[in-house]
Amino acid sequence: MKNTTRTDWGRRQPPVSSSNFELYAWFFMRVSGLFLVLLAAGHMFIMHVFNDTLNLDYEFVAARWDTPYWRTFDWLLLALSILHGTNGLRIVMHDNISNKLYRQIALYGLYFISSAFFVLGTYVLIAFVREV
Amino acid sequence: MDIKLNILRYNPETDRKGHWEEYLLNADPDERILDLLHKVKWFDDGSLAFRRSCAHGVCGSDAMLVNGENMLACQVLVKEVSNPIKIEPIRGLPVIKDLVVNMDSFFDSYKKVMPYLVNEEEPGERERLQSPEDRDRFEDTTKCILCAACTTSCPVFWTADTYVGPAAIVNAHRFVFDSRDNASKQRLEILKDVNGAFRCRTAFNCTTACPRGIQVTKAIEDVKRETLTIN
Amino acid sequence: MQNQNIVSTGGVYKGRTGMWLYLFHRITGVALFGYLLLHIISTALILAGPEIYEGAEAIYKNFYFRLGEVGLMAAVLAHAINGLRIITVDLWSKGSDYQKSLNIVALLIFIGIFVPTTYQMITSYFDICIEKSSAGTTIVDCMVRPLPDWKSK
Repeated sequence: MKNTTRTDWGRRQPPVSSSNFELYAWFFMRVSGLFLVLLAAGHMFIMHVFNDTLNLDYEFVAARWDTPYWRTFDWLLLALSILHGTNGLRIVMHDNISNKLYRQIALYGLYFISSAFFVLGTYVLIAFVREV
Repeated sequence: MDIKLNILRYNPETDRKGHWEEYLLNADPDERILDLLHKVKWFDDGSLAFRRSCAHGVCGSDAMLVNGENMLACQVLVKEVSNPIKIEPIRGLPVIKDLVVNMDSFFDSYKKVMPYLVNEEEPGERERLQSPEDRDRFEDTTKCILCAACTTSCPVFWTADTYVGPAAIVNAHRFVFDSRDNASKQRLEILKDVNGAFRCRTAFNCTTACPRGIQVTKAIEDVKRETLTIN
Repeated sequence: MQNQNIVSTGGVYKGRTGMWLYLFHRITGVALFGYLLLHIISTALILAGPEIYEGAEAIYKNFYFRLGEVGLMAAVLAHAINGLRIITVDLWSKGSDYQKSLNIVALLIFIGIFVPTTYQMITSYFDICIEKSSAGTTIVDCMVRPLPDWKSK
């Protein structure tokens, strides 16, 4: 195919990669979204409707985390929401930052922050031991 | 009926940015938007640049943004839009002059999805036959006239300058679901790229913009689901 | 002359509901991710012991934050329900045909859950505030007071 001078005109035509990543990312967003509807909405209802955050104190959290069941629930919520949110932000950055260098910087920043918070959250859930 | 027509003008030789210009003219409510542009160009300001060819909604040359919505200027009557009328070039593509945009990247995206029948098998004595049901699967997407109204109405296309856009996916759909075609897998391979079908966020702007009434978003969704099923 | 960018001069594109929902989903998504990070930090303080954790939690125990919580609830519910709508459109082969009805169904579900939830959250705030505060505290006191001064009962 003849190479036109089109590249002078702004919009770019990058080469096609044949990885399945975008397909899986797209599908993951739907599946994790379904789970998050249950987990996140469940969490919101437990904290704000069935209980009131005014009554939230150390004892409440400690009692919850006495059972491994709630620790698992919270860890699943943490892991899925961070993954779901990171992929969402990755898409927003891909869509809105057209400068390749800035986009890479933003993406690496995002990945760094997300992994740091995932590690922090996981650490809290594992390391918490009731003091009183 | 008196019409106030505002056109976003841009002359590459003198302007650095586009500017609005106002034209007052008299028109019949049953005239088309395209007729207004003709009146301006023929009797008022000959420097106005816009594309049009058949002027009957078939060639797809005169897609433009009229009162904030993409449409074909030759297909919409004056009485169907509110007055004053604002006309801009379609968005997301570089403007050459006034309402004329550079469509190279649009057609490059179109070519990228192999919009032609691929079948290396010997056809035999007669045509490659197809059942009416098989034909119906892609009936809708055969109607595309490549006017770019859908692609340039897409919010993702405006900001993500590498997205292939709805029109290319519609034309891929036309052959992906054709039972006589053998290259569906290759096309879906191209469209599962980061700039392919999964960039679609189902805003449905393309479906409302299409002057041919193609269910553009539905076609893109078909392509996504097909990609998902074969992988 | 190349690449004349006149995207912004003509005002907003008149997209239908779908375009606004797309934008809305993005904004709530980014906002919820930001909130998630804050929430992880505030919960992580629990490792520092009851005093520090409850001291930090006390900041949230006023009416302004209650309104913020209602907003948070709205964002979570809206993002969740709109997400379910998107999943329906994406994975159900007839989803795109019924997208306008789906928009309305999603809105109705949202209202159906959000209104009673908000009612519960607001009334429960005043109930607890008045119950735990010294005698003579009014609803207005509960609203304007930056931090609750109720005696622990």
